Amino acid sequence: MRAVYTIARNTFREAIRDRILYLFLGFAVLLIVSSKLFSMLTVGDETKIIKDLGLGAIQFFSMLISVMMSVMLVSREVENRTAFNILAKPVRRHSFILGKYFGLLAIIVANLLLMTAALLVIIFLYQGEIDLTIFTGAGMTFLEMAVLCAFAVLFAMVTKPILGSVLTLAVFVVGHMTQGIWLLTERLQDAVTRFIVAVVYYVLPNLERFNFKSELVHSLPIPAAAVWWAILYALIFTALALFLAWLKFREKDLL
Amino acid sequence: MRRAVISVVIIAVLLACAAGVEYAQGRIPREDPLGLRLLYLPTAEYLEMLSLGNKGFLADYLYIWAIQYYAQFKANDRFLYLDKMFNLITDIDPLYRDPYRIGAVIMLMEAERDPQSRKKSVFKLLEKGMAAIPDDYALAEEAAWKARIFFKDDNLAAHYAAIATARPNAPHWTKRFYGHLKSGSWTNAQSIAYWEGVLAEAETDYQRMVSLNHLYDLKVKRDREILNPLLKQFADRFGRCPESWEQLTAAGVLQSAPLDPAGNEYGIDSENCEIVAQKEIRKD
Repeated sequence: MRAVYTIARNTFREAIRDRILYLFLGFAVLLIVSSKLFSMLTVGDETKIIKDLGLGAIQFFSMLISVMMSVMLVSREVENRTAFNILAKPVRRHSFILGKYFGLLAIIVANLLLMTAALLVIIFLYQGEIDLTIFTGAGMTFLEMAVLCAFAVLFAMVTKPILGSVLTLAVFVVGHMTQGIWLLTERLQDAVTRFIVAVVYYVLPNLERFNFKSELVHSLPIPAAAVWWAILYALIFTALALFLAWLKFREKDLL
Repeated sequence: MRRAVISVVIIAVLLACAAGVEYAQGRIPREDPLGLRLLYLPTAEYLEMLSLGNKGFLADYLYIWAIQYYAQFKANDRFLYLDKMFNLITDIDPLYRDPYRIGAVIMLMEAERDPQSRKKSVFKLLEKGMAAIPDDYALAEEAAWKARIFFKDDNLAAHYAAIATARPNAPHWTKRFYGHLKSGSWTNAQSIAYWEGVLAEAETDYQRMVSLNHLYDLKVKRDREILNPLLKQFADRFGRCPESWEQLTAAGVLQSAPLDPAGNEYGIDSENCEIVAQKEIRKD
């Protein structure tokens, strides 16, 4: 556990040195400028638009971090063989993977906290009250990114950095479009094809399970069961992706 | 240094050229391709998928785009695919109130050209909103006002006002608005029964005052229907209208002087031979 913590801490520091938190500034500027712009252009509820935009931007910027940093940080170690230095010490390979993963997750959390705080301030300026439900949205984005980071670590182990980024991005896109695959199962006539498509649907992570933006923006209740199932769903896919990454990394010859 | 200056100049020249070309392109008259783009817009189902989990923001974007586009003045096809556009926005985010309201307002702008078709579209959009947001009274109330003010259809207005009053958290004045709209079709007794209910639900002094005023008018109207014939009856017997209630009680027409709903004695307008209430009464 100590090794995992040390690697995670170093990964986090490395990302900070890479000025990853500057993305937060991009988020803040985007939010301030666009909220002002939209409030000028729209007729009606400005806060709804700011919430939609803010939650969407939090998701987008977190996805950028997950896609870029995960692959950059992990692949760089493997490609440059600097991972060898770490593994020469009494560090197990699964500790390396977990350390990298938790380090990346810490970066995501730091950014999420900053972006959520910025969004809360903007909403407070427009609405005059602090909307704590935004934290639920941020929490759900965290779960989504936890899954995405795990896939990014997996792709970093199995392929080159750029391809890894593309594949992680593909998981993000496909993860939000799996509902379309499910629609296919309802429309296909052939039972075998329907079964195959259904298997594909269940094998792919459905990232829409972490999407409660509509409920948050329209102040609708979120069923507690949906949240618990989402947490379990994220844990399962994270464990699966990290396990596959470990399987690949275990066989990797770094010499 | 010289190289840096040359680089800056080259960049500035290229940017200026790009801006010039863009300006020249903008001046070339072209067919408005928007209609085609709107016609082939994907369905809400696909747009939702393409939004990658941000359907609310997509709806915001389309809504802002729509109000900007339809606000521009154009001689022809100003309201191209108006129904389609607002249906799409409200399909993507059915709980978004503003597109129902503002969509209906924009549709009303075309009502002069094609009143029947527009009327159908306006109420179809608002009804869609009412169905999508069952705890919202404002869209039904909006529909009631539009039916009354723009289409002069009080029956339709009353229909929507009834929906508004039945919604949770409907403000007191929606009930008063409904009572007012129904005043033409209800009997006086029905109106009195309704307004007594409205008075019972009043929570503020202002609501009580407005409800009491309506009840006062209705009860005076009822009393007038009873008392004016008695005054006429007296006039027929004695050849003149009574000047006081004592004359009526003395003649055995009444047992005592009648009081208005506020407890004040009614006056008698001897000239017209009818009762007069202390309070100003609407003659509707």
